[in-house]
Amino acid sequence: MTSHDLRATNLTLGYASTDIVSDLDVTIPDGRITVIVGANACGKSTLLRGLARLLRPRGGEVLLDGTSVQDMRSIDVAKVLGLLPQTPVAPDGITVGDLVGRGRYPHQGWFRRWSAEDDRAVAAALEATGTADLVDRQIAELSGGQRQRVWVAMALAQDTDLLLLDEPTTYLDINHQVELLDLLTDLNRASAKTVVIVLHDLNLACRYADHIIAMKQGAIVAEGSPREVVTAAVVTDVFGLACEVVPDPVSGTPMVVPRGRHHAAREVVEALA
Amino acid sequence: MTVLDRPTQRAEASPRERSRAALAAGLVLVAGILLVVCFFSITLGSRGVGVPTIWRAFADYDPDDASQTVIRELRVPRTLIGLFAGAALGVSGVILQGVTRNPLADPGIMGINAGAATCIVFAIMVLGAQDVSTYVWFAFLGAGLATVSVYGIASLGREGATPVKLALAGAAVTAILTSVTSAIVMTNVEALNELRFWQVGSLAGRYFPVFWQVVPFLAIGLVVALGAGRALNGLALGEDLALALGQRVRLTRLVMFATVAVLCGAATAACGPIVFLGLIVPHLARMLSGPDHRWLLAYAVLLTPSVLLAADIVGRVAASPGELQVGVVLGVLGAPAFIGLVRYRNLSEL
Repeated sequence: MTSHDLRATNLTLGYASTDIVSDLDVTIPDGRITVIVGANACGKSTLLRGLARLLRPRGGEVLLDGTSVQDMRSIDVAKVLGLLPQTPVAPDGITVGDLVGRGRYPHQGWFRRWSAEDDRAVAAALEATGTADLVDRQIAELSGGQRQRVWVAMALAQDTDLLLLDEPTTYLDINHQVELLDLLTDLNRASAKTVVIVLHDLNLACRYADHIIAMKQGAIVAEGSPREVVTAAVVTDVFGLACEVVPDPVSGTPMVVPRGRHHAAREVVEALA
Repeated sequence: MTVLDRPTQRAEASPRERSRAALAAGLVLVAGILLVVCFFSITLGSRGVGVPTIWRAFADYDPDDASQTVIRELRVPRTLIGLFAGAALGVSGVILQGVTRNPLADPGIMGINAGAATCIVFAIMVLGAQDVSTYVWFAFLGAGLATVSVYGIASLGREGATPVKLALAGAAVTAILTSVTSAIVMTNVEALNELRFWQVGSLAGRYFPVFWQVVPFLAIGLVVALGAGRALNGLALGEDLALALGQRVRLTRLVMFATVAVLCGAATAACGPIVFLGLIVPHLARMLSGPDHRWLLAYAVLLTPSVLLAADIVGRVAASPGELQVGVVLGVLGAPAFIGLVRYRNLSEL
């Protein structure tokens, strides 16, 4: 795994007439797991798409190893940086093996067709995600958890040093969410793959992130280790949520307990009053 | 990286290889069917001819033998045009369905053939274009404009070009184009008769001059289309993933739409606006080939002309000694197939 430098300077991104992300600077720590959190529509998915060259910046630039990604050939970016979009849709009737094989696209070309190297990468991706026994099954037959593991396998088959995932735990039950984040941690630890994840669940974010980026209205409010970033004050600022932050009994990382307007135990209410 | 470096044992024949052998065998079978259909397309008709006559018509031509003349001047060019036009419409359907990820995308439904037809009629009736090599350019223009406008209209709004929006936009544009065509045609009763047959889609009266005039465009279009399998496989994953995998999505779409405009324009110039073919046969091909566009295109390029020529033969035999235009036969047979498609397939997924 070669080390890489992915950063954005004065980045402005948007759709149609509105800027979603404006004048943002960020550096993605190499070889670590970075989690981007924030309220709905804060621009976290947009930032991820911008970093992966899916959106042309309106201002500023995204630099991969010192070169603006807009100046690079798309296929060269795709050899270093992979992205798994939110809720991708598989072609009708496709098998797991074929879908994972399509992750090899940037490594092929007009004169370089399917090779032994492609076979190896696909087999390794299937094995790493525990989907090898599903290889001949159709995607449509799989459970949500299996399907998401297959998509991750496809992104792994792309064999990139950086992997960006947009809300990969959407539609997964809590067990499968933990399983998927464990898998991404395995990949990060085994090969120092740089992983960037957009996540909604703050507690899982705190547990799995080496580095957290908290976004609000298209700007970064706080970033750093979970302990530095996830405080009651920041959560209230970013999500507008009154909460308590306590240590996670399993990992010791911050755990956010929302207050809400109901169900507080009497002694807590009195203590807070 | 370590996770991906682990070597894996390879079985004697992986399922991938086994299915590849099955797909290749299927392709040979489909090619065989096409050959048989071509044979009947040349031999069957109001004047039945045998193999020896066909042989003599080319090896030792006797201009006094009417049967040989029918073969040389009518049946063979007619079959060749059916072959190329069918292949063009079939791969156009595959490409449109792949690029738009929409199972209802088709040169007929999207008004592309109607666009080509309108411009051809305009060129003939208003500008006085005489032969196919002139009005084929108008066909490209019309096909291109129709593609862009229908896809553009359907893409308006948040959720993009959904199957229903694409079908509605296509129906609307087709209706407008058809009325424009009618308006032009009605002003000239003399040319109306000739256009009547062309307008329903026909392989009759298409001789070698027509063939040589459209075949270069069809051949180039088909070569580009058959090379597009990998690109279509990428697009089938959706725009975001295709981009993330390093595909130049906009350029690919542009090249694909241009290819479709050339193929449909030339096919329409040669045999009139033929509907249903580009919609139904790709689905039929997909049932056999699975979702890999490289196989799908190969199947469609062989299956579609088989269906077109078979329909042409049915039209010749059923209405003998006269004949039924292939567009009419395909309309009659295609409508139930279309209803079946809508009824039994989940059209929201492709």
